[in-house]
Amino acid sequence: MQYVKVKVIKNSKVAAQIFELQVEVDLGHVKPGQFVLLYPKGCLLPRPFSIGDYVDNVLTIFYKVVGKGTRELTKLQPTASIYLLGPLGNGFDIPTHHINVIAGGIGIAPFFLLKRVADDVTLVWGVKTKDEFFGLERFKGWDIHLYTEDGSHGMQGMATDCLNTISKDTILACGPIGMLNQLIDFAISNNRYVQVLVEQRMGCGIGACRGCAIRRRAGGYFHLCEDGPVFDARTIVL
Amino acid sequence: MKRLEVQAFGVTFRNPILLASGTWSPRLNELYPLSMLGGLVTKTITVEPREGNPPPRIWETEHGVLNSIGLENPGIDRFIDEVLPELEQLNPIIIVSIAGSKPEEFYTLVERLNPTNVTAYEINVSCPNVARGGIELGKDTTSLLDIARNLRELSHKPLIYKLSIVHDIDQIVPLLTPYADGFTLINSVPAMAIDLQTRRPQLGNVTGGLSGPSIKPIALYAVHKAKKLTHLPIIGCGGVSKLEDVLEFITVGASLVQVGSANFNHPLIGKELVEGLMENLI
Repeated sequence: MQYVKVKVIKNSKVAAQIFELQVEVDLGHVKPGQFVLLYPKGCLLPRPFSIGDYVDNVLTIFYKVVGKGTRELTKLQPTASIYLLGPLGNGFDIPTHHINVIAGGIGIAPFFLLKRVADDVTLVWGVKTKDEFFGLERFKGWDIHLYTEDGSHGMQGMATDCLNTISKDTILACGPIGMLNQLIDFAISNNRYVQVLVEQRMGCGIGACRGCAIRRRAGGYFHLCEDGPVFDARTIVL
Repeated sequence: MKRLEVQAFGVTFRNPILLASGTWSPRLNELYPLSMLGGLVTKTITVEPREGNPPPRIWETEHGVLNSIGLENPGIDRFIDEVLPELEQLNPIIIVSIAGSKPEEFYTLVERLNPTNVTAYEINVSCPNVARGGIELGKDTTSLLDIARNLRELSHKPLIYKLSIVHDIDQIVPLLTPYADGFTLINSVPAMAIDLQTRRPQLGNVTGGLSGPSIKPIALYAVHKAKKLTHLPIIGCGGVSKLEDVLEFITVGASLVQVGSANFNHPLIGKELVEGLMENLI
């Protein structure tokens, strides 16, 4: 883990409300599903973002503009700098055999890095409307299934519609809370190992404040920064 | 270096910068040596483990951080066996924050911690986020005085009482002074935030405690006020995020300061404040 001021290489809009931010940083070894904290100007708390892609000391983060912190990020111009803490969190446990990936909306973000370490992948990606897809060319070689809620591209429906027909292999998933709840129900009722990457408001990122709690099915809480952000779907309640 | 030393509660602090309860973890030592700080105040410990409050637990307001953690901690047994040995490697000055929902719990905590090497106790009677034993205890002066008398008898280490701005400082500070070694002012300020879209509170526990820059003027006021009521050393706490803030607290009479939520905003803040003091005062 390091805390460094990093230089912005690129920060541009790639889809509706979605930006691609590239910064120069040597993070050492990173795993898909790990995250970093960024410290936007004028904010009192840092904001957590999945590591989107990382190669040759270039870190890519895909973020959706949802509030004060991400609005501030959109103002970053190339050559500007921003503080970063990371890499943080556990990341996905990646099997060597075939993997199913289910992504909802911006929940695709952590899987660009997976593309660098896994070839035999079925990707199911659902969004509301076709304007929300981005970076599809980077997944070339994977078996790709696209869904839009309005039917504007691919199949009409949600990414989780695939659960009836999905293979028995490991599922990695990230997306909105409704989608994750469906996956939790699916994992419990079928006793399947589904790895879900969860979001929660965060304070310190290093286990100090205990702010990023999520419910543990067996009672008590997990903390995203220490125990996650990737969890066995059977062990959490959202 | 010696010019930054502070003598308080019979303890020598290498400088006046402490990290506040619940705002740092040993992992911070990966970013800078925590041994360079004046000392460390632990997350509040209770007798039994506490799982804390329902999420969401933290929310950023315009000028402050709102939290409702609910004193989540592993309990005194695991603290002594598993947490403390690691903390003792980080800094020679460890102040243990303790809280109880009844008087006997404070006594148990002090009795358990007396044989350890910890430096002092910060008695948290001002947490805004627990139903019993927090901020309400600080309002019940009869119980508080009773606890303070007994702790004075039991404790082998300095007793620092952490108070809230909602407490009657005029009354409590003189009342506790004969049984205390110092005061920390202030804990986070009871507060709340609303999500207008859902018309629900932003925190799972409905209300929380506000910290950060917006409470600094309130904390300065509290230290200024308490200073006139006691000869004991005071630790200023609330919204310290830059060198000027430290100097302002010292100006109104604080012997030491605690840096809290600024650690979230800039993890190197403790180191930079110590370096800033060295450059400006030596």
